[in-house]
Amino acid sequence: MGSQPIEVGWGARKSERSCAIIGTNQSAAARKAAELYPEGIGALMDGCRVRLNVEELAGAIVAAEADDAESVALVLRLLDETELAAKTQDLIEPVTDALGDVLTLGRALAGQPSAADLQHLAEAIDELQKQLARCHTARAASCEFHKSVPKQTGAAPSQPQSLAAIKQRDADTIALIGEFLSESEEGLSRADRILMAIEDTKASADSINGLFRVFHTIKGVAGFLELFDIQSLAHTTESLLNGCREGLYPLIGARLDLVFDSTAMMRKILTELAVAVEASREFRTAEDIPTLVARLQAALEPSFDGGVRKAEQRDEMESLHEDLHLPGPSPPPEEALEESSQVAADATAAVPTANRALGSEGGGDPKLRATIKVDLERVDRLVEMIGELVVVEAMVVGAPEIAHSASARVRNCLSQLEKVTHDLQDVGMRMRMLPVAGVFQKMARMARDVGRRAGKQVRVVLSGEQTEMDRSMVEQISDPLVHMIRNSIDHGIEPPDVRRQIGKPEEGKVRLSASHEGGHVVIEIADDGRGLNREAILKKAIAQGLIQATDTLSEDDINSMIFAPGFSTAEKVTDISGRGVGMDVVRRNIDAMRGRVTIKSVIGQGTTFKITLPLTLAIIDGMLVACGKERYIIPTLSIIESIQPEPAMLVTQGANHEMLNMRGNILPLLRMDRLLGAKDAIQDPSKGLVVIIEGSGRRVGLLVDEVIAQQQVVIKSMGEGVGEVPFVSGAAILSDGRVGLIVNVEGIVALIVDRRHRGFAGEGSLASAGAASGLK
Amino acid sequence: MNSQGEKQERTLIEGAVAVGEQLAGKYMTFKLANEEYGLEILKVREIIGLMDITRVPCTQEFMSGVINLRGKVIPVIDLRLKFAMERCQVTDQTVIIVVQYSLHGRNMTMGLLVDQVLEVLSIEAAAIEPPPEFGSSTLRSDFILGIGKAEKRVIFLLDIGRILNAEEAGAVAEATVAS
Repeated sequence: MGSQPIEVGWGARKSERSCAIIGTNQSAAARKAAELYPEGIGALMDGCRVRLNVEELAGAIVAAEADDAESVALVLRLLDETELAAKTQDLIEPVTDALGDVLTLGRALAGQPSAADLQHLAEAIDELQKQLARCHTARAASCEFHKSVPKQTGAAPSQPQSLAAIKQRDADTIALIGEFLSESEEGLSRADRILMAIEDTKASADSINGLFRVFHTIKGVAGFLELFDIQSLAHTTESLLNGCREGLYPLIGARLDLVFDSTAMMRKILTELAVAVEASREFRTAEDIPTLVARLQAALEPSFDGGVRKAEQRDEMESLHEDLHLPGPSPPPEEALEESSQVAADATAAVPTANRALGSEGGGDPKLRATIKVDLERVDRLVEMIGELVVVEAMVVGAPEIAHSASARVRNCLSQLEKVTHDLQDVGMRMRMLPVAGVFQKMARMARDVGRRAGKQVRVVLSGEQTEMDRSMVEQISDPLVHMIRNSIDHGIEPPDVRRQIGKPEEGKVRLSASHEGGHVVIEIADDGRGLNREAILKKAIAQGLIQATDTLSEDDINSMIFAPGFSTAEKVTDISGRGVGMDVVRRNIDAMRGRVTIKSVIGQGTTFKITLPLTLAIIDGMLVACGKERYIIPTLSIIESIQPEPAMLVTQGANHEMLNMRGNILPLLRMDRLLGAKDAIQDPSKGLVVIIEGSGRRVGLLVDEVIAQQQVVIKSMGEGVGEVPFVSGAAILSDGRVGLIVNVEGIVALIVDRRHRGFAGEGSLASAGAASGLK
Repeated sequence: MNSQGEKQERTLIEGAVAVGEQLAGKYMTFKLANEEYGLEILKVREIIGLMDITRVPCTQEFMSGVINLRGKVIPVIDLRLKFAMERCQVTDQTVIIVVQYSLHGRNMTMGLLVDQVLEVLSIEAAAIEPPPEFGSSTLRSDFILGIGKAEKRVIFLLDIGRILNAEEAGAVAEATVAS
């Protein structure tokens, strides 16, 4: 475990740097820069003058009121001064852009300013200040940057010199890029959320401004990090949005799609950048950026009027937004938007009719909470120590000397101690927990794209996004969800015409929900599509030799066939799915998280995947079992049931193959003492207890002496030096202070699969078939 | 004795002094059967009485198992078995020495099961000789840093980082389970 900060994995980051970058400490940053670069002090000081002006301006704008002519005049005077100061020096592009915005808005004040005008100006000034602060910290941070291109930092943003520039980057710049990546990622998620909301309802001034801000910030930072491709993409998108903001055309249809594409492309580039930086190799941007930029430019062409904003135009904006769902005033040029205009037509038709509500959240930002970034290692350590405290507490409370104490006071104190430690454990666990909302949003976004590509109308309904899970699991659940949603859309949901014929609404629905259920997290993906075709699955499974034609299988068993590696009933492989890899990944990832996945499917009505996961990876609910003198812990989630077998239920074949006849179904029977080398265990199965465990969809019986208790244990590493131990996945400290080993159910089940004889291929499926029906 | 022989002897002695200077310092000594061993005092974290050791299946015999050291699970190695000696009878002198060292940048903590802890001994450079060459490659002796002499006793100074051999240390790298 490395010492990672929780939110970003950039080890090189220095806390002072991140503080400076946020721009809260601007003057200190400027001072520091001056100290560091005496030779470049002139340029920096010039920058400072503009900043001082802007700061004054910011003060004035706060104080200004629309009906107070004097205060407005002051603002105007300061604006002039700022403009003058800015002319005397080279400013990099994002700053001049922001400044331009401020000046244009300022000129609009000259007539009869409204409160809204002042508000807009204040926002623009705010942005300008941010850009200036960023510019300064960047100059201060990147010595190389400053020395090599003095006074011309961002002079030629269109020059394709990014490769050479990247090479020179020092650690500080890399830290800056790290900041940029995480900020942009947050920004893009916000943009996606807004876009989805716009698609569902319609664009409002707020939402367009929100989008605008995201791209604007990315543009600014990308500019002085010399990531010119990103800058140009952000710039063009921003221009498109600007048009919407000014009410020149509404943000719907093809234009909305373009913005979607732009965020997708941006993500792609940022991911590549992250990879490139991490591997410290050259960063090459994707070739398709220019195409997208050209498309974006084409989209703003017809009504692009040079961009000078007039006050009355803005007044119209409100009313225009009322009509935003109508098609744009002038259609985009055909050659550039050929493919997307088709989609646009669909979308414009669909938007007013279909209620595309995005579940509970809609477009509003979730309420902001104050957070701090803490080193992950510290949190882990704290959680670990709380775990220890809980164990010690159990030892104290359970100690016979104390437990039998007659004193009521001692007993009271003990119960108080118990309560406090458990509350503490709860709080500790929550520290690592994150809501699944982030992942869910991503899925909703992806479902939209996949639906489009597959030519289907899909609505994603989210619920329970606030359900919290361990941070690492939130990351791990993403992959399986992607595969399951792709499957639901590609295989489950029928094409619109088919849906119409069978009397379903044309729009397919995928429901993604999360909830807590008795100490576990349950995630469900339900579609209202055609359901699993059991005939086809059976046919395919027989053809692939997974089962034999004579086998009788339960419904569950057939359903779970789709998790087999390489299994696909799709007749052709599409770019979305059909290779038979996805569901195998799902099964493996969920197993790795010690979770379970089950399928319910009704033909013609849809399929529901239900994933059950433990709350956290650090603590599991375990069943403490005894085997001879040893104690082992079996994860409760893997246990189906436990029984005391009658002698008549035992079946043997030869000396080594023991089986258990459970209500007519045959399960392989393994002996825990032989697997784990315990001594003095009960040998007669009918005197012991058989715990039925399930892993990878297969079930086996495990003979133990007895089940002692169910308890939560903190999972610990076995300690350095022990190495991999088969059938053991970790250790835990039991309530008596001893170390207990946690049984690796997957490992044990894998053993059965390995042993399975080729010619007797039915055994495994027979076993799981038996167990499946045994569950009911 | 010819001059070449003298020269050889001198280099040998110089070598021995160099080894001694590197190794001089305080050692904690302990006993396995009749043999005495020393561990660099800085690598010893604590000495604990024998406690319940949970056996771990499918590990080598010298791996006694794991114990709970105030909430941390650490492995315990039976040094007698590691050095191919007879398993000892547990007495009230039997203890676990907890050592901590870093190997390939990882902090390792483990317990060593020994017969008896003796004392902390300061060994001077002059009293340390380089490790013996056994000649045969089948016998590993690289975990012996040197041999210390104190009065008439001989103390094997152990390199704790090498007690586990390369494969065992390799397994270590994968030993981390979900945390």
